[in-house]
Amino acid sequence: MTTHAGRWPASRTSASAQASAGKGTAAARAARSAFRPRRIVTSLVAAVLLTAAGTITAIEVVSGVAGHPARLVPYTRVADWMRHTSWTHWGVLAISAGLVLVGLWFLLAGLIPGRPRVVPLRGDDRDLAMAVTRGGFRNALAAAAEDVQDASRAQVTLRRHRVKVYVHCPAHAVDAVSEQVRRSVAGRLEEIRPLARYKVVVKPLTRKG
Amino acid sequence: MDRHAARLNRVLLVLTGLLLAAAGGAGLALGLRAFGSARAHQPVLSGQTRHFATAHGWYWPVVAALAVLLAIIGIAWLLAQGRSDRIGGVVLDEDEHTGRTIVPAGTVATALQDDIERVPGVHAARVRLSGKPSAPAVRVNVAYDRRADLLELRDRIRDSAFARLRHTLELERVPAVVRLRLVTGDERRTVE
Repeated sequence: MTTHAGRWPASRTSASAQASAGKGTAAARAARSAFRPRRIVTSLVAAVLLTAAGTITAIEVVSGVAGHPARLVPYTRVADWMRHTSWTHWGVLAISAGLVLVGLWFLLAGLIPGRPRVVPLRGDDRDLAMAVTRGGFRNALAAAAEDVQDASRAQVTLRRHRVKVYVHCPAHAVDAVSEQVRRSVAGRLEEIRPLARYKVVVKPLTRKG
Repeated sequence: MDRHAARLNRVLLVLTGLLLAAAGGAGLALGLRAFGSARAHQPVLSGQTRHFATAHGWYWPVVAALAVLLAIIGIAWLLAQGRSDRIGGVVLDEDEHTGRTIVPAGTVATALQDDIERVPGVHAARVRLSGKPSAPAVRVNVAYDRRADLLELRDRIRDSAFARLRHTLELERVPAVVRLRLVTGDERRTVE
């Protein structure tokens, strides 16, 4: 475990820097928005649908007006079905419901900001947005947990606002180790300064036998 | 890879979503007798609609024009996904006497890459320049391994690599997005 030989002392993260880099600052906003999902897959689906619908309709209408219907879709059959089907027919209702669902999907994808796949870091500089992958973040926290004497094989899981640390320790030292691990991980969080606030929960695991 | 596409995506997704949801919602409302039972039992394509289309000469041309418009929006939207805002060079200084000096983006990127790769534990750095040649922005992907310390990495990138970049380019602000990626992350657990 020599992962952090050259680490800065914890005092480096001063209280004033913490206060000035709060959640609502320009730097925090820049960091958050820089790593938001860009909704590429949903947009591709929507764009393809739009293009297909527009092109097919345009070709049908123009060729129909010109007197040589292209018949890309079985137009007469569709028109016939629509002429003999009322709005209460299950098929019509199903199509309408499908449209509503797809529409809501697009709408929500556009409106909900979405959570970044990486962990944005808090910075004082609004021109520098940094993020670390979740794996890297978990790894750094697990290393902090393993810094504690008697704690070994730490595993970290990430929730939205919670860090859960599973750590192995001898049965006689569960309470002491848990507290130390919690403090160590919380300290490392202070230093890494992720944008979101995390609560640290320690789950001690004692070896059987 | 630019945020411009992200904003475009969101706006168009909301508009398309509204359109589809409104159309589907209207169909459902009709079918579920929100507009009365008589209206609900009329055929989807009623004689009235057909009569309207034949009575008004502008109907089909307007439909065709709308369809073409939709298709154009769709194609432009598709193309926007692949478009990148990379720039080929950075304008260093521009005044009447010396003219303009342009540094190729590759040179700037390589210099920054080398600076970052000098930080212990950094495997590789990939730098891309975007924005405007007179106001470039930087996007960096840093692959670091378990020997690197996340805090030191972060401080050194900010305090030395980017400070130098700003100094070299003689710019006060160079917006940057940095993604730190741990490679060989699982090694730590197996090597122990």
